Amino acid sequence: MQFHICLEGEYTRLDNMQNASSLKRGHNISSIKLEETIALGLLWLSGWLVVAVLLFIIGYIFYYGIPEAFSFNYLFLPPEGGRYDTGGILYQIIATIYLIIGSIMVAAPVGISTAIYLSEYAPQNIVTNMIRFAIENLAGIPSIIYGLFGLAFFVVFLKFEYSLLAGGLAVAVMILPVIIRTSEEALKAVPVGYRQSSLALGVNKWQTIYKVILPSALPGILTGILLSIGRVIGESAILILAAGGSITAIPKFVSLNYPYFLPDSARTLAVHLYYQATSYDARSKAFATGVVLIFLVLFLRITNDAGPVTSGVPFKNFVPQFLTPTPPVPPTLSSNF
Amino acid sequence: MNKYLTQKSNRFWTDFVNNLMANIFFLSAFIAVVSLFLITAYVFYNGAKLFTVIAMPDFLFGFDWEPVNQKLFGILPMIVSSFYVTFGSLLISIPLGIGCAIFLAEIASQPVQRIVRPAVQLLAGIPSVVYGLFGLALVVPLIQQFADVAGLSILAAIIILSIMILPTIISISEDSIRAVPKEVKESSIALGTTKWQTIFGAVLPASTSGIITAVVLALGRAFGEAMAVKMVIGNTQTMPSFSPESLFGLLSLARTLTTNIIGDIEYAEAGPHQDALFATGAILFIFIIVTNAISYMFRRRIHEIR
Amino acid sequence: MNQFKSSIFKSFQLSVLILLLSSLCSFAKDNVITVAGSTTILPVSEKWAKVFKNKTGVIVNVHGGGSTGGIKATRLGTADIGASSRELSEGEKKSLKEIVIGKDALAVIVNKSNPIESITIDDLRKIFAGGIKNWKELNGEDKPIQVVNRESGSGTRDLFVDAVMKAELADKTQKIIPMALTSIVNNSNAEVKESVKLIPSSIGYVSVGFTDETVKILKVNSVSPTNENILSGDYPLVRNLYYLVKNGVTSNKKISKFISYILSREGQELILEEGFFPSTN
Repeated sequence: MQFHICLEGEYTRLDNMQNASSLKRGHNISSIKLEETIALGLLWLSGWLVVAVLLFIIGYIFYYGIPEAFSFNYLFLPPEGGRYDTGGILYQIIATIYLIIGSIMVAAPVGISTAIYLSEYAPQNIVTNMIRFAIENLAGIPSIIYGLFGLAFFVVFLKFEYSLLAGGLAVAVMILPVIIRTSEEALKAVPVGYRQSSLALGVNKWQTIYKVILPSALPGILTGILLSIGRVIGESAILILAAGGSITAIPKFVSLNYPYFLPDSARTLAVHLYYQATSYDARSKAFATGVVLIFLVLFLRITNDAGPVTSGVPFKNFVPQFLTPTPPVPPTLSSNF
Repeated sequence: MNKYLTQKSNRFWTDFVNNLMANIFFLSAFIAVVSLFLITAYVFYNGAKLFTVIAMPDFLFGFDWEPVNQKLFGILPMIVSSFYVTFGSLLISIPLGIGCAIFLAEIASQPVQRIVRPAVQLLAGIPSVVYGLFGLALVVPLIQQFADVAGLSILAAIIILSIMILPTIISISEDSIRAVPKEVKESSIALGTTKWQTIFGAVLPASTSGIITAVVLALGRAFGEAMAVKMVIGNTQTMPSFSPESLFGLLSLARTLTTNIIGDIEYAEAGPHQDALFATGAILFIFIIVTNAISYMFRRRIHEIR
Repeated sequence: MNQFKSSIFKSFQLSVLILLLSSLCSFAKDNVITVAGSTTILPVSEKWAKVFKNKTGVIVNVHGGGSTGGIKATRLGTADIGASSRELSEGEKKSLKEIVIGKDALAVIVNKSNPIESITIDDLRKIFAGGIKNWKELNGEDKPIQVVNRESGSGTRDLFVDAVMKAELADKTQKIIPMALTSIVNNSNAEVKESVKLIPSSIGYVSVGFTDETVKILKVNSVSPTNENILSGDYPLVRNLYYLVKNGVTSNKKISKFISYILSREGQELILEEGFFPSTN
């Protein structure tokens, strides 16, 4: 309390001194004030500049894209190709949905299981360190490397050819660290007391996880999944390298022939935007696709924000969540039971 | 007796499932390791095939890339351009990003934070092709008109990239600024310093590690970005000209490591050309691993400090 | 709030179910033809595929990948048909059969603001090899020339190299002059056109089918690429467009059906619509 009084006194003193401009130190203090004003002004400016940049980019894309983007013909007609990219983006939308389903179906179970292992089971040993090291590195690899990997491994070695399956699996590896990180944080946020009381009832570890821990961590895990859906929607480099870009037929989800799932080469919206902006004479349509993409991202964010808050700060980080320095984790009881 | 038996078999099954799940979780966790191993193996194996055709120095330090007719696989101009573009964009986004982070953590009121923070997050969520389109449709023609050059240029790439890496810098810096213990700030203020003096003299030094982590991660992101850069840089195969006329390279056309892969991969025939693209990817990969290691180091330091 | 999220997930589930059902009753692979290759031919192939699907129900998947990529894919069997805008080499002819599906001409284009009207093949070669660096050497403005080129491996680039970059040496042998590396490198006709449209001092080459009023088409050796000049053979930068199939594959019914559709009057009219020229007069 006394501290604060002191503080106010300090500022009043500064003000008084400045008012008394006859004082010798008056110049010095006014220069401090000037510096203060400029510095805080610049900080204020840089904060709002970021907002302005965002609004400008979105506004620019919307201004040129809105008229086309919300026409029935554009959203719900199949593409016809041709020099001007006639037709709509129905197949691209379907391909995007398939890709989301496919990659999440692979990445979510693996990622959540990994997170469970890391937060509930992992002993402090070299294997755990190896796993953490791998996740750490996977998170930093740029998407074009995943693309090269998808091309060499899924497309060529496993003979998936250019297909949504090859692209989807490569994308799944890319989003794995996102899901692992967010799920692990969600699991760690579950109070230790829950675990202890469940175990005290004689319930075994798996049942505790399944019945107690997972349900209370679920909102956080869903957040992670929504985050990764955002990344899947925006991904293009991987898909150009591993999924090809055919738009002539509606992509299939399952097939009777190898590789059985998502066997078709297809373009997602982001890839299509790239082709529209560069390979077709269709700049205005590229803007329209941009509008659709931004809307999807916005929709995901709103869904995300509408969800229950898990760990105090809602959506502290949108994408770089897995990159943020995590505070040191106190040795939990988890390794003891 | 009967009851006892069912309980016994129940017990058996629950134990069985319990153990089974533990194993499944471990195997899942190990998939990350396997993935990293496979990625490394495939990129490096395919890249290494190139060196049966040409020597490593010719690849790393060669000036010319003409893979089809002349079999020249020099990527030095691309390495230089990659670094140029990356550090150029950092030059813009470090001050802006850290400024915004300080604004969010120290100055902005709650309602203002509620506007700025989602904006930063949304900036991170916008797909890179959309940034590329924005650059291609607005930034490139602007540069073209002002400077009477091609417009497609390193400068355009720097502008677009600096926007793209802002969220990384802002969110991580903000976290580390927020993590500065209250006592540090309070004792600074108690010395009669102004708000800015406290921020500059006490808060920023205390959060250096976090800010460096943010910068290094942003650096990695800028270095690895492919699509947006490809759309605005022109993909020329020459060294950027560092002459004053082209603003010391800013107005030069260029090709980075990532755009080399994206531009050529569709056209590359299996053989040295494709292998050279994998080798380009491998060089990129090595650089990313180094940045990862550096940022990991700094993050470890943060943990130790706290 | 939880309800909101769960309702979204419910609708997700529902859509997954619908998509699954709709795709379950879909077609087996023997009802599909894959075409891969030249980005020049890509738009026409897409149009053909669309009409052919409506007529017969056979799906034609069309990929880009460039002429070389198409040839590679056909040889490996990844694609049923390769699309190429360059001729096959002798080695490639051993395993592949080429079918002329149309003709295309390369237009040399410059920015609208450029006063130059005509150019010779020799000057073109010098420009692309880096010998001529300023428009004033061709009696144009005093501006450095910005060349816009295609990726190595592009069929359009191969044709240009064939028709323009070959120089006759003193001993009557032909030699390909390497192109200067200072050019902008774009991945498609449309991208080249956009670059030339944007940059006042630029020059590039695209398929005639991709030109429009936003760029200026130069006469080459004082012949402009009009329909008559191209069909009569007066215009020097003309090429055939090919579909490639593996030798012996023409017995495959759906593929031969597709190709005969393309060569029919209806198919050839479509290629004309897209700005190319029919394979026969």
